[in-house]
Amino acid sequence: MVDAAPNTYKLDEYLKDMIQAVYGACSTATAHMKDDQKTVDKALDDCEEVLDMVMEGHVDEWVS
Amino acid sequence: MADERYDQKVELEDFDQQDPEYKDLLSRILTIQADCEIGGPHLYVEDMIGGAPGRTNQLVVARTAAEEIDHFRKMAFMAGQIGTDVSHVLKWSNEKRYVEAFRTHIRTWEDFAVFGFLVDRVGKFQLDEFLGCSYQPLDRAVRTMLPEEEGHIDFGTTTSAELAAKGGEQKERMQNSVNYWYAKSLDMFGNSNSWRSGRFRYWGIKRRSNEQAREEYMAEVNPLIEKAGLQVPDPNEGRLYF
Repeated sequence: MVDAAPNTYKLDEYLKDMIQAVYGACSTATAHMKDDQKTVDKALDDCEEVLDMVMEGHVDEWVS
Repeated sequence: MADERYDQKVELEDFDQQDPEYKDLLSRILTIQADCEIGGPHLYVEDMIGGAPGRTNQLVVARTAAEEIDHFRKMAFMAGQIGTDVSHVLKWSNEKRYVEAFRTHIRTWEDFAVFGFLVDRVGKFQLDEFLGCSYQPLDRAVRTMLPEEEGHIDFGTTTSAELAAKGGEQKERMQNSVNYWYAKSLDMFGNSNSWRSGRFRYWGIKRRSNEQAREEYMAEVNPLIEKAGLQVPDPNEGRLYF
């Protein structure tokens, strides 16, 4: 059996968490689109923060 | 002999016993695919989460980015399982991307819409290549990714048509965007005479030649461009690969 590359499983788990965080924020925003703009704005900020973190790609920090 | 094709169904536990060329090609295609998946969010997250018109569209951008990151995750995981670390492409600058279409930035809503309309459609064609492929984990993974890619394409197609229908300067901006991304999209299929394309088919990793996939793409997308009231660009204009 071939050896997996280092951190394959840790990176996968980390990214799963990040993706779920964005999905969760999107769901919150969608649910409040008509009645609570503050919550929508906060959820959008959360999405942006998480996505920016992924884009920065500091994998060594994520898996340490 | 040209139609000869590897007909084994390869699972992860069989990978080590495969021909070195098979291993090399699979590692290569997973790396490029992972790069393309993360290349999209790198194009538009910075400017479009806040720059999309209205909160609903901003949410579409965020959710689209999360789905593309999830596609990256799946490709990176499969690559990692066979010993290929692709995590470095996460933070690559856009200029380093394997595919020319991702070496820029998306700063307008028109470009975001047309990117979904034209480039995500190429992404669907590329994932489609792996349906029924010899590497079973890849075959299974693309079946979960394709419906999401269809969603991105539908949004891009509908939004592009709506923007073009406004006419005047808006329509002109849409035509310019289509002209730019159409050439990039056609180039994404690679050279028609690619030697490697034949080897991918021999090993059952891909189904179609670059030329065949590009022709099928044009047959699908050209009528949609015309239906949106826009002109199909000259397929030779602005191209790098034929």
